[in-house]
Amino acid sequence: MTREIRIIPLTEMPAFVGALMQGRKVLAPTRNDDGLCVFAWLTAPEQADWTCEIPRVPPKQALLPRTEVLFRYHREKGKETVSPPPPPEPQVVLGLHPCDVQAIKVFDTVFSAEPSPDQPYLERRAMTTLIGRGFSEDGPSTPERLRRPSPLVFCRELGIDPMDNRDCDAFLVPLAASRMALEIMTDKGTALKPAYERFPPAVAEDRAAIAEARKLSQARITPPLDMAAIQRNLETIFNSDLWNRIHEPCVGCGACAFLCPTCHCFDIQEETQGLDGARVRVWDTCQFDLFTRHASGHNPRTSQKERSRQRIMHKFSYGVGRFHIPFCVGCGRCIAACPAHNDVRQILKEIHDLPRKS
Amino acid sequence: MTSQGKANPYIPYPVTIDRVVVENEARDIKTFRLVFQNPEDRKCFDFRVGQFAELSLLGFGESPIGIASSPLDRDYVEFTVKQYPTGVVTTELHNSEPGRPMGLRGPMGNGYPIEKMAGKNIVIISGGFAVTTLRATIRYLLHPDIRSSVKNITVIYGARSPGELCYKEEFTAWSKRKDIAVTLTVDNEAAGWKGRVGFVPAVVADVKPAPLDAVCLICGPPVMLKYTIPELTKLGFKPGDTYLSFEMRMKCGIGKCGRCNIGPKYVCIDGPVFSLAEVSALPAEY
Repeated sequence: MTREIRIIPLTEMPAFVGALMQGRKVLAPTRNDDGLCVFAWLTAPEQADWTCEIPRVPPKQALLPRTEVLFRYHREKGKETVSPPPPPEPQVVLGLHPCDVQAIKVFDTVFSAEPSPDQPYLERRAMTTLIGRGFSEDGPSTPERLRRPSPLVFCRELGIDPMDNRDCDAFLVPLAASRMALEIMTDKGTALKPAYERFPPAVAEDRAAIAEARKLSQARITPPLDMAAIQRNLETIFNSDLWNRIHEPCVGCGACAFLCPTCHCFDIQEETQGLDGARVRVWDTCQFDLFTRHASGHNPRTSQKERSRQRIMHKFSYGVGRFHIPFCVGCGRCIAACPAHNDVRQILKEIHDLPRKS
Repeated sequence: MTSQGKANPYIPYPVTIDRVVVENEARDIKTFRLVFQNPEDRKCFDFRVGQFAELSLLGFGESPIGIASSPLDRDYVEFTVKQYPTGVVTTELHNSEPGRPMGLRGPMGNGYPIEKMAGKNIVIISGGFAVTTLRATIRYLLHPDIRSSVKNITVIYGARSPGELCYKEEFTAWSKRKDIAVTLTVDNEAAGWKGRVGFVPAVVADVKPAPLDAVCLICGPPVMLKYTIPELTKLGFKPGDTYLSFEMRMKCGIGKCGRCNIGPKYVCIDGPVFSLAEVSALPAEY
């Protein structure tokens, strides 16, 4: 439930972001040196960029850092000491597309699962405030460039509404006359009061505009992808020739996984210098040969065929079977990044349309 | 089971290597006896036979290894480790002497179906150094407090040569006992070897363990499994009563890092022990 709504002029957004940065790290869409929009840690409030729909780099680094110290250690002959990392700092992830919010739900589901909840993740998550951002191509104030959403985004086909504010602590909705509405939904959202209290509350007209944008957005949701059928079909095609074709163009670069907001597989490595060191976890991907290769040399996934299959199976069959949530949110990043032009939408369509075995 | 409350599940228990035993002639299989530096940690490390743990060497990494001692061996935990030239952790471990501090994370996995084994005949089949968690099981079942909880125990254990049989003194002692039937076999005739000669599947066909009211535990190299399972089926063992233990490359050991799955099952938390019925429902990706 929305507790309150404040109205922030776009010209005042840097002031709002600057206030968020007081005592918190802020991860937000920003332009990198190449002019690409990516999620990155802000060092100045003006860096936050509001012109981009799906930043190429997802926000997952806020919750699963590329390199995360699990603990540090010191070794001496006959004696070893281990010290846990410092507790995580308060942080805000700002400007999340609702599909990226859904991806964080995937993370939450996996990392909180029994029998062993992932304590480092949960501690970091508890210190994290999510400020989503709505995208409505029909909204009266929607800038021209966002009226034509990326042709690669297919979150609606997965039932995700780009105006959905659920699972966020606060949510931004673009309004007419270069303004943003800030919806506050949770205690974590309310805790941002010092950053937003100087902005005026929404008036009835603003509320009506927000409601209208939501209504229009919801009307666009017509999920044509039958995820249950896809999962059902996947269970029967492990040995299908389909995989020969799907993997053929794949170069095994792993870009799809590293840019995927739901991919969370990791490696655990040692970083040492002299007698000191740290055990760290780093992003990893099932697209690499080493991912599953045993010390004996045996590898259950010897070729890119098995690895491509694992990616699709994990996202649309295994994840759904275990956690009842697909490990894909339709952000389209993997489609944009694939050097071989593999398109997960095409793959899903093929799997969906497979003739039903009688 | 492995839920460690609010603790960071990646921080290992501090342990010390207490004893190292070379198990084979090739000297690439050793058993490491570990003792907990804080005795109360041993109580937290509450395991059942068939579970595994991550052996942790700071500066080198971790390796998931089956627990080779019995839960009733209360003062220590043992692991039998084969060294591979590409294995950073196993190589460093093999270069380690008693007294070295290291870490232990676990216990992990489901273990053998002890509850289901109660009151049953137990058939244990193994080959090579895969015998480790089954050695733990035999030690456990032969404990005076436990032995009467199961009926007959039949063990068939094979290795390439007499010098490659692990836990040799223990198996020799067990083969002289009346409350367990042990058959040891080697692949080829060898000087001084008075036991059987032949591959495990052939010996199983010859010994003919009875399937009636029995639970069968089997662990060995893939080629042994491939030819032994049909023999067991021929003898009448049911897929639901036959259990295998799997190995996979692992990192976290707690179902997060995403690399040890066979189809929808994670070997680290759903396994490593699966019934043959469960295995036949999985894709053959192992």
